[in-house]
Amino acid sequence: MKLYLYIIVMLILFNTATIMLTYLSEKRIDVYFSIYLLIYLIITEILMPFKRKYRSRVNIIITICLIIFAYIVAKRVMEILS
Amino acid sequence: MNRIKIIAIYLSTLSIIFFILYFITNILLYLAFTISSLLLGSTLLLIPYESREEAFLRGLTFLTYDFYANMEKLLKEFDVNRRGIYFSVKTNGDKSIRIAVPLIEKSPPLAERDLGGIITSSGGSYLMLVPPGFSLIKYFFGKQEAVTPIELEDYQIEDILSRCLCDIIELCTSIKVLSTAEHIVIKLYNPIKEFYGIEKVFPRTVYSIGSPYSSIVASIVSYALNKRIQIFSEKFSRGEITIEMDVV
Repeated sequence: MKLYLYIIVMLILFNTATIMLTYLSEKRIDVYFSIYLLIYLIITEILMPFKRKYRSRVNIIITICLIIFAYIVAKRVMEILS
Repeated sequence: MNRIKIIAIYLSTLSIIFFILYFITNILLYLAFTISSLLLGSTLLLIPYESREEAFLRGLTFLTYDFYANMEKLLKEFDVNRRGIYFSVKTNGDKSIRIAVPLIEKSPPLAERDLGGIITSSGGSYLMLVPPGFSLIKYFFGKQEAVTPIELEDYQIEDILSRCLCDIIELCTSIKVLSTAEHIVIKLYNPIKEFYGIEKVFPRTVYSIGSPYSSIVASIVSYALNKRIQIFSEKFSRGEITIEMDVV
């Protein structure tokens, strides 16, 4: 079933990303978040069953995540400018 | 609860635990795990997941309702409001099942073979219809050795009905058959609820051929016993349907 594949692939990639970033001694949580969001967007687009009722709900999560991401980017830009 | 929702709740709980651990230990890895499990957990919680089987069952329910709607229209057209008789017929040498709904009050006995067409005047004036259990009977009895048309005990009927209704189509979880002096009483336990209340939508059809539950049961019983069966009554309760049938 495609939804189970989605869950498995997502979990594998999330954990791989976490292990890699920890191995690289990454201490910034926004880097973790950005990588997770990237994985989430790609895998959701590829593997999430294309049903309108699913997509409308997933779009809510994507919107919230993108707002957080925009806040992180804005914060970084402010840091660089100051 | 379906498996997807269980996984979703598990991941969401895990994210809360990781977050608490992050608060206690201040290790960044816990916060990272919080984000990842929350992201996936909330997605699975939010999507209105239903299995393909559930959606397919809904589709089949709609198709059955459409069949009943057509029947209602047909019965209204012929102005028929009488109890149908389930009986086995011979069609091209094979045994099959039909419902005969009398068009006039005192119809003489039916012929043993199907003459084709929906109205037959061979031995009476009847509307000859194919019941909802027709394909199930073909599927089940096609695989079995021929059932001898002799008196079957209650437990034998129960066994046939259980294999058809519980194993093949999963209409209910168990069946009990009781023969009383007046009727054959069949109880279906934990039936699917999709056709509860169908008699309110299509009263004429349900009166004539019974609800989908009793129609399938009557078809199988009639075929197995090789007798003419008429549905006398059916009672719907919370987890049980009681069908009373007569041998005519």
